Order: sequence, then structure tokens, then C-alpha cells
Amino acid sequence: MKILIIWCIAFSILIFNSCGDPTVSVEGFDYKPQFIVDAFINGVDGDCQIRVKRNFPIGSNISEFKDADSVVVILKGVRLPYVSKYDMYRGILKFRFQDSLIDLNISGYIDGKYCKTSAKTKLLHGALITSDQYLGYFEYGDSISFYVGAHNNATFYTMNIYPQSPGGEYNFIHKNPYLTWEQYQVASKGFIRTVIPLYNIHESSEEVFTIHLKDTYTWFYTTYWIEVTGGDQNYKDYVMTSKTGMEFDGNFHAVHNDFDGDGVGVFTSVFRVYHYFNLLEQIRVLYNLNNTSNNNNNELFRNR
Amino acid sequence: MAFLLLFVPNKLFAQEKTPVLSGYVLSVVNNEPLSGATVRLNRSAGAITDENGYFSFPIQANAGITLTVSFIGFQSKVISYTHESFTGGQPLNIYLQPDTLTTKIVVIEARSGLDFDSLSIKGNGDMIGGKELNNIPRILESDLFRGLQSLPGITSISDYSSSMYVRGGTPDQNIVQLDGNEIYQLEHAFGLFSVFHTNNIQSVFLSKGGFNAEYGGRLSSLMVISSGLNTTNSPSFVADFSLLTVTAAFQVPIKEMFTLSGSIRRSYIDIVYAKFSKDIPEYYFYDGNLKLDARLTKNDKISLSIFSSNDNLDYLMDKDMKKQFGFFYKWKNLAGNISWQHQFNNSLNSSLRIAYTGYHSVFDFKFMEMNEYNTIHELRGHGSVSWKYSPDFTIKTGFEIKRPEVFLDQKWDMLEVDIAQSAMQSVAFINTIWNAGKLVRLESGFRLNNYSYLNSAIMAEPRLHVEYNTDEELRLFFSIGKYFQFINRVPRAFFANVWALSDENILPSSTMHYICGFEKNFSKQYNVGLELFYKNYTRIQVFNQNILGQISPDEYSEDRAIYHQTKSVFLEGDGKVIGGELIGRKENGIITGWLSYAYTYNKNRIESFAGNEYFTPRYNKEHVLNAYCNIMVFDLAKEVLPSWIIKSSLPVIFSTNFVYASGQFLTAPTSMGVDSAANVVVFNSGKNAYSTFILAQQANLQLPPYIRLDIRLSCDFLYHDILITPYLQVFNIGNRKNVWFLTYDIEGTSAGIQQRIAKSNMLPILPSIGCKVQF
Repeated sequence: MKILIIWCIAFSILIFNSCGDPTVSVEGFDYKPQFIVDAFINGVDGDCQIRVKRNFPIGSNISEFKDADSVVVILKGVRLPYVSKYDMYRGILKFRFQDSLIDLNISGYIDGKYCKTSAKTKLLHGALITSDQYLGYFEYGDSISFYVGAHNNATFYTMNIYPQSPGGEYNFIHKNPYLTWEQYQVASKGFIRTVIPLYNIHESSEEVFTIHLKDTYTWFYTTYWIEVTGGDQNYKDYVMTSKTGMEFDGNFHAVHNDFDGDGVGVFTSVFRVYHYFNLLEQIRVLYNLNNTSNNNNNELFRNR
Repeated sequence: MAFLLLFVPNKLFAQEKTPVLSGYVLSVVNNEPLSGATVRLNRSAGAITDENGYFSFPIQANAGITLTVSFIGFQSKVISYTHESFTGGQPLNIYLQPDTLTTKIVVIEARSGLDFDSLSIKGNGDMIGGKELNNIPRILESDLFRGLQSLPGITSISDYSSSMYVRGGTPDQNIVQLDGNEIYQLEHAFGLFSVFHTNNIQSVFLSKGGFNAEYGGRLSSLMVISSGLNTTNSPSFVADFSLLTVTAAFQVPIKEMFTLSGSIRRSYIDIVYAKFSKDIPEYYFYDGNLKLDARLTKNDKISLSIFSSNDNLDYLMDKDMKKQFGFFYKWKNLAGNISWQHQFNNSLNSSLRIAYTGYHSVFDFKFMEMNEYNTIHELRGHGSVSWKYSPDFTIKTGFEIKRPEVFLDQKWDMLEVDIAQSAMQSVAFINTIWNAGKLVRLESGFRLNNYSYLNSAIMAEPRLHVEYNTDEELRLFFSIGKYFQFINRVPRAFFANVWALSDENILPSSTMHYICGFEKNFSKQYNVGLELFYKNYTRIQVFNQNILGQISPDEYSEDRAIYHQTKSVFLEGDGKVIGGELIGRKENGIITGWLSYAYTYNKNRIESFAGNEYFTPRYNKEHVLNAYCNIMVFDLAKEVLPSWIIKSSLPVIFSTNFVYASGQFLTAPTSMGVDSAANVVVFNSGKNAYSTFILAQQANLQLPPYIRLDIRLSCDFLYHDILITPYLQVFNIGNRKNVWFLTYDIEGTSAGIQQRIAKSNMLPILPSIGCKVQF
């Protein structure tokens, strides 16, 4: 009987201890104020777009924190003005020379603490050979393509395609063979990409590469913008690693960082060009409308 | 060789004519030799039978002999002989009777060190019977790996993975062989179950380190699984019905010369559950093995063994829709070998094995225009000769030639990874066993590796094991050995493993094992063991998570960039593991089981990881407490209650398995960046609004302790010679919400942007039922 009692007590203790919903405290980490920077210099036109944000302690209420203040952004010795909440710091790099070293210095106060960070990158200067900006009108399923010429100094290219007005079910392409509207809403969170690496464009080639748009890039009847970017190694690191910080078992790993001091982020020189096209449910309707209004834009239509 | 000779005494070469007692241990059922059976002479000196069931002892002239012979799943036998009865030099044949199925539970016979005098020893390790593994509660399905994780020093990374982490080693550092077949893909169902069910396992030899020179190529542990049934008179058959699978296993002796055994298991999610719910994907797995043993003559035995496992997933997002958004994924193992064992005489044996191991996975996701073909072919030849030079000295030498080939072909819309590797690994090994007196045993060995990628470099692996037996009750041991590894696994969340051979970009890893410990028996019921170990890792390979930014194409096709090299796939590092394991067992009686505690201090240092500092890897559990207990319910009730209350003697077994593990360490962000212009950023750069996380250091967050209690209730019913065992088991009966990891998100509210940090939990309470039928 003694054995049974001891065993029952032990078993009860085990059951009691094997219940519950433990909590995890993520507070108490040594928080270090830092700038988070996305800095791009477009080598085509010298447009510099620099977004400077601040970090927040994990687990904190972000609304309780103020933006960084007295932020000074100096690009190659020139202070860039603050433009807006969206564009942040923007300017034109006037004197551009191939391979010239561009330095970026950022300083300011975060929660009353003075922080500064800096990074350097080599300027890619020149222009990407590419198709006309406007690609034309198309129906879903049509072959849509444009070309890009590789630039000697860019090592990595991406294409970012996005609808001007993604809308919703009303302009969703229901006749696509892959997804219903309901399925799209699920899949768009995991499978559908906006940034597409153009792995096959390479700097050593003098060819002009034709990019064929797949029907899985377009899900709505609307105007699409295509942003083609050729960049340096910093840009490659940014695109290929910045979204992979969390591993499948919950561990994080550090992604590539171009900044030293009190900052993390990307500072890269890129070539960036834009294209756009219209995807219509029925081109014939538009064609008729155009004829009525004597708009002589027939060359935009494909030869069907 | 000079190293070996240091341990050979001079008197060895000037032998006296010592009488020898030798023999074979065989199953009475089918006359098959029982490899790994324990034979004790006069309750002191011990031996383990080799693959032919053979053993031998030096004996004193004119002494009485008492042999105690035992083997898991069989009834022990005690035999007394007079000296005159065996001086003729003829080997004895000792037959063991299988345990009856309703016998008392035998606790896992955990030999923490050596207990051998045979040629089939594998060094430091535990011998575990399949029947014992069946009693350990598990998730839905009988599972070898999950059962073994109840032992100290063996853990998993989470409830969702059955992979074994042995003493700070990752799963790819374990050698796993089933009937001589080396298996690469060890998991079904994306890691949830291992490919080995326990219904057709005769025994498992598990060494957590310090294994001998015959085995190598991995850094951490050795698991040798022998399939077959140890149940009733032949022919025998076992069927097991769980909520997930149906399993059938059989063993048939044929004309006293052949024994055929095999098993097959198939899941029926696709047949049953998927018909009722469109959310359940069309998924199934199966595995099976077949083994034919043929004893052609008394001195020749040929074995043929085949193993296969297969997983198939045909996923459709919505099965009712015509629109086919889905993918197809399958992976499989196929392995087989043929071996020939020949015994020239009582002191000279040889064995030869030719084996093939294949592993293949196919993934096809048409929507993403992605597919992957992942293949391993490995041919292996293994031969050895063992020579019992004297009753006290045995030498075994042999070779192993491996030709592994690895192919990975991944295609995305503009990218192709096309890697083909092949290597030739040649190994020569020698192993000696010396009984230095009655109390001391010494095993030493060398393993010499030549690996084709590394030109003509010879990599030597010395091994040494010393054991001191004061008597039957106390055993002290010490092991040391060097180990190399020539293949590495890339762990993936959803996809089956990808393996990469060592080459000019991925240099072989190595480690040294230092192990010491003792085992003490108290009466016939209790046993206590302690082991301390230290391992230092050199050049361990960890998958490079930032590889995509660091590699460049090797060539270009018309529409794709093609990558051929393995450069930057892994990051190199080093590590150290220090630990201790304490286990107390009760081996007989109404209540049996064990209580164990394991401490593992594990630190790794990987290039470019957080300032190159040492950190605790994700899988390490520093403190682990295990309590496993079996109770014969009615026997206990009869013992503690008045006899008139309990009259039944139903063999009802109640098993519990409790585990406490200190929280694992995560590398968690210490701060995060949030972009208030989320919509703009999403479309301009592809980044999510909360995509910037800042890490301060590796392994900076310790999760709460992992605690779990599982139970299992089973009962044996005998119906016309058919044994029926229904069982009920509950995994995580306390439904504790053990934490797997944290997820980070933000949400916009009227008050601004809020962080949302949520727990991702391990498995909840999972009750299941099943039934096993044997005849």
C-alpha cells in the first residue's frame, strides 16, 4: 500500500507540473537605439532616396516612442533635405563618376541619445538599355515582354511588378487557371512575389535580355508598373537576405548590414528604370472606344 | 600498428595451452543464431555473442562451470557443466526460448559501457529490445526514435521532429543502420515520425559515443537495428492498427535452413480522413523491410536484406475547384545488401557485405515553376576477418569502400542549381580486444580513411576503450576516440533533407570523444549508471542562411543562371560539449522503469555568427530529467489490496513517461524597425512593414522549461493462441503549451502601431488508441 500511495503522490505531482501555459518574457534585452536605413542612389539620374527610421525595443508599445529628431543626412558632403513622411530624405547627386566612392553619414537623436552611423558604396553610373517605358495594352494571357541590356557594373538585377490599383474581387482576373479570388487572398501572403530576381542577366554579357512576363505576375485588370533594378553586391545582399532573417525553427540570424556605428540597413547604388502597361479584360472594347474618339494609337495594340 | 602493440602483453606470444569453452547461442524457434546475447561464466566474466551467435571463454582446468545466458526477448538460461563435459573442444549449442508474451516487462537493458568478449562489439553502448520500445508512450504511432528519446543524452529539437540529437550532435552525425543498410532520410511526415516502427525490431544497439574502429564516417552516435520478431513459436505474425497506420510483420522459418522475416506499414490518412475533410491533403507514407537469412552450412550464412520507405504528398489548395493550385512532393529510401559470413574454425571468421543505399526526392510546384530532384546513390563494400589468437586476445581487421554520389537539381523560373558530387572513400580498420586478466578488458583500434576529394590525405582515427570489472556488480570504463565526418545535411522546414559530400569547399568535420563512467548493480533489481563525456568539434558545418547573397552563377543557359558549386553552402565553426548522464533503473518486479538526469553544456562558434563568439545551439537542452515507469496494474493491486478485492490477473500495463527539460535558447531580435508607410514600402521594395530585426547576440533568449507527461495503458488478451493487445495512449496529458518559438508581427490600431509577439506552441494533448494482434 505504501508503494501505491507514494506512486500516486508522485504521479499527481507530475500531472500538476505538466500542465499550464508558460509565458515568455522578451523584455530585458539590452536595447541600443539605432537608425534603420534604406538608402538607394539611382545611377541613371542621380536620384537619391534615403529612408531613415529608428528601432524600437522588442515588446514595446511603438506608439509611445517619438521619431528620431534632429536627423542630419549627409550624402557625399551634401546635406539632404527632408521631403515627406514617405520619401523622407531625397536629393539629386549632381556630380557622378563611375566607381566614385560615395559616403553617407547620418546622425541624430533617438530617445535623447546621440547616434551616428555611416556607410560607403561605389557609384554605378550610366544607363540601362531597355525598352520604351510604355509597353502597351494587353489582355490576360497575351505575351508581354520587354528587354534589358546588362550594364558592366551591375552584378544583380531584379524586377518588381506591381498593380497600380490592385482593387479587389471586382477587377480580379477570374479566368486565370490557377486561383479563385478566395485562394488568391491566401496565396498572396506566401507565394506571390513582388520582387523577382532576374538571375539570368549578367554583367559580362553584351546581349540584350528579353524578359517575358508570366501570367502568374498579373492578377488584376489594371495598369502595372515594372521597376527593373540593376545593383551592386550590397543590393544583392539586401534583396536576397533581408527577408530571410527568421529560420523555420524560430531562430533568427543576422542579415547583411552595410552600416557601422549606430545603424543597420542597406546603402547601395543601383540602376533603376520603369515600364508600365495596361491589362484589360477586352481590348476590342477599348479599341472601339478609341476609334470613336479618333484616337490614333493603333500602334499600341498588338497584331492579333 | 605500433600503437596497438603497446597493449599486447609479451606473454601473449608465449601462450600456455589454456582450455577454452566455446559455443553458439541459438533461438529454439528457428535455430537462428542470436547475435548480442550475453553469456556469463560463473556469474563474473561476460561475453556477447557475435553475428554467428558464437562466444568463447578461457577456463580453468578442473573447475565447475555455470553459464548464464540471456538475450532480450528470450528467457534467460542457467546451465552447469562439469569440466569433463566439454574438454573435447566441441562448441556447445545453447538454445533460448522466446519470452512468452504475457511475461513481465523487462526494462531496457542499458549497458552504458562495454560488456563483451566477441567480435561483433561496437564499443560503448546500450542494447535495447524492440518489445521494450513498444511500451513507451508516443505520438499516435510506434516510433523508434521517439522511444529512444526517453534515454538520457538523446533529445529532439521539438515535438514536431523525431530527429535525434545525441550528446550535442546534430541528426546528420548519427550512423543509422537497419540490418546493415545505411539510411539517409530517417523521417516520415516532414519529420514527425521516424521510418522505423517498433513492431519488427528485434534489438537496437545504440552507442552515444566511443564506438569502435569498425564504424565511422559520422561524429556522434551509432545505431545498429536488427529487424525480426522475438515473439511466439514460428511462424509468427504481428499486426498493429493505430489511428495513423496499419502495420504487419512476420517471421517464417523455412526448412530449418532459411528464415524469412519482414514488415510493412502504411498510413491511411488519404484513404480515410481525406475523404471526410477537404482540408486534409492526399498524403500517405509506407515503409517495409524484408530479410532472408540462409544458413547454407554450419559455417556459412548468407543474409539478404531490403528496406524501402516512401512518402507521397499531392497537395491541392482546394480539392473541389477545377483550378489546380497545388504541388506534388514525394521522397523515398531504397536500400539493400547481401552479406556472407564464413567461419573457418573456432578462432577464424570472415564476413563480406555489399550494400546499396538510395535516397530520392521529387518536388514539383508548377504554379511557381519550381521543381527539385534530389538523389543519393551509395555503393558500399565491407569486409572483415576476425581471429581469436588466444582466449584473451582477438583481432579483427577489415576494409570498407564507399562510393557516394549526390545530385541536386533545382529549377526556378530563372535559376537552376545543378550540383553533382561523387567521392570514393576507402577505409581500413583494425580492432583488438585484450582480456588483461579477469578484471580488465581493453579494446583498441585504428581506422584509416582516404577520401578522394582530399587527394591522398590519410585521416587516422585511433580508438581506445578500457573497462575494469571488479565483479558482476561494478563496472568502470573509459573511452577515447577520434571521428571524422564526410557528409553534411542541410535541414529544411518542409522539404526533405539535402545532403552534401565533403569536397574542396566543405572540408571534413572531426571530433574527439572522451567518455568515462561506471555502472553498479544493487541486488538483481536496481542498477545505477553514470557517464561523463567531453567532445570537441572541429570544422563543423552549419548551413549558411545568407547563401543567396554570396554565390554567383557558374554558367548561364538561355533562360537561366546555373549554379554548380558547393561554395558558401556551409559556414565553418567549432564547438565543445561537456556533459554527464545519471540513470537509475529498476529492472524487475511489478514496477519497473528508470529515472535519469542528463546535463549537456554545448557551445558552438561559427564564422560570421554574432562576432564569432561561442553560443548555445538551438537544439541544446542543458538539463533533462526523464522518468519512465511501467506498472503491472493487477499485480500491484493484488499486492497492496486485500486478496478478495482483486481476483483477476489480467496483464494490464500502465506506462508513464515524464520529461522535464530546461528551456532551449533562441536567437531572438532585440529590437525592430517599423515603417509607418507600410503600403508604399511593400510596393517599392518588396519589404514588409516590419522586416527589419536587429540582433544583439546569438542565443540570447531562453524559452520556458519543456515539461510533458505521456501515459499508455495496454492489456494482453489471449484468444485461441492469438494475442490481442489493445492500447490507449495520451501524449502530453497535461496539455501543457510548451513553447516552440516566437512570432513577431505588427498591427495598426487607432492608437498607432502595436507589436504583436505570439508564442508558437508544441503539440497539444493527443490521445490515441490502437490494437496489436500477434500469433
